[in-house]
Amino acid sequence: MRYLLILVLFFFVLPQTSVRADSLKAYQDYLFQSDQYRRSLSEFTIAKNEYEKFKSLTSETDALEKTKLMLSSRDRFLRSYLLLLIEKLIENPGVGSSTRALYISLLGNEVAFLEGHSALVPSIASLSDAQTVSQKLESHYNVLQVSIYQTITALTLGNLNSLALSYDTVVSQAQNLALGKGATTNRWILQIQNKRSLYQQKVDTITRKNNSLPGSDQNELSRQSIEIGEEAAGAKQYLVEGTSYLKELVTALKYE
Amino acid sequence: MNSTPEQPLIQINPANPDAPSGQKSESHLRLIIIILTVLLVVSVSILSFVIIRFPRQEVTTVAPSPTVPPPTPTPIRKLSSFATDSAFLNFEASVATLSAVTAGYPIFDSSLNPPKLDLPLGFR
Repeated sequence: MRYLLILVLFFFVLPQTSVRADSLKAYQDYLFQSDQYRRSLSEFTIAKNEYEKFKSLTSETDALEKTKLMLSSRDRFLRSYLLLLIEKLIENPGVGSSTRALYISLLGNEVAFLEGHSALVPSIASLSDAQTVSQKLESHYNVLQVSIYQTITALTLGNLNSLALSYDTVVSQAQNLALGKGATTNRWILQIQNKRSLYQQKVDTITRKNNSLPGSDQNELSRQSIEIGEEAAGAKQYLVEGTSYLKELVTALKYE
Repeated sequence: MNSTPEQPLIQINPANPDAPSGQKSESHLRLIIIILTVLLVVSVSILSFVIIRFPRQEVTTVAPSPTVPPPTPTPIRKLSSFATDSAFLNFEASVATLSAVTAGYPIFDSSLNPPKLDLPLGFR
């Protein structure tokens, strides 16, 4: 009996723990890289100011070294964030398989870009070279940000989808129970379904907006991301209201 | 010549019957005023003494206790015959679970906020 219990634990509990551990590990790495980047950025800023103040060979050499360190840690920081997003996509049960594959592929391309960019850093021999290498990321950054925002929205939609699936299961139970229970009950069921339709409209709007995020205008990108967040909150609210109706239906069916 | 010196004429005022009574009434009036003043001072003193010695006690009025209405009996709702079915009990449990999950379900992951980067190097 004890062995059976251990086997059950091994097959059912441990895999789930390891899935959680993957995203947790990715998050811890992201926090570590964030800390490293902040530190290297601070050292770079000081070295840059020293160089601009004195314009000496020593300060230039120091500034070049600190710039290279900062560029490397910036790439690592961004890469760790993208890997965290990939882990979250893998773990989110509400994200459809095709959507998951699409965004993992998109993020994989960005990770590859950052790795390529990072490989350029050791060959930097002057501050001018450093500017050129940095500009490669700067010019690509808007595209990268669109991928990031789209993935975040896909994860949010995945969370909503998980809720909606539970909602649908309960609504189908309600429909079976409400058969032949009178006009009022049927009307309530219709209203519960109506909330689901309103939810779906919101989700469609979010999907449409997410697919057409602008890659050129940073402010517009931020604005639309905020709008998407508001739409997602509205979508969830419809499910909350529908659930409240379901509770009323339980009470109505329970008593004569 | 026997001359007598002229005696000065003593003019006697005609008798004024009112004079003595007017003085009398004036003195009466003065007396009354004095008495009244003394009475006033005495009464003010007594009053002050009473107020200081026996301060007025607050009169607490006891509010009448509200009459408690008899409790309305909770109407006993009769369970429908349907309420004990396993399908219904299952549905009730599902709704309770969904309600709890929906209320506390975070759809946004705050750990995924995009990182803030300083992109241009900014060398002059």
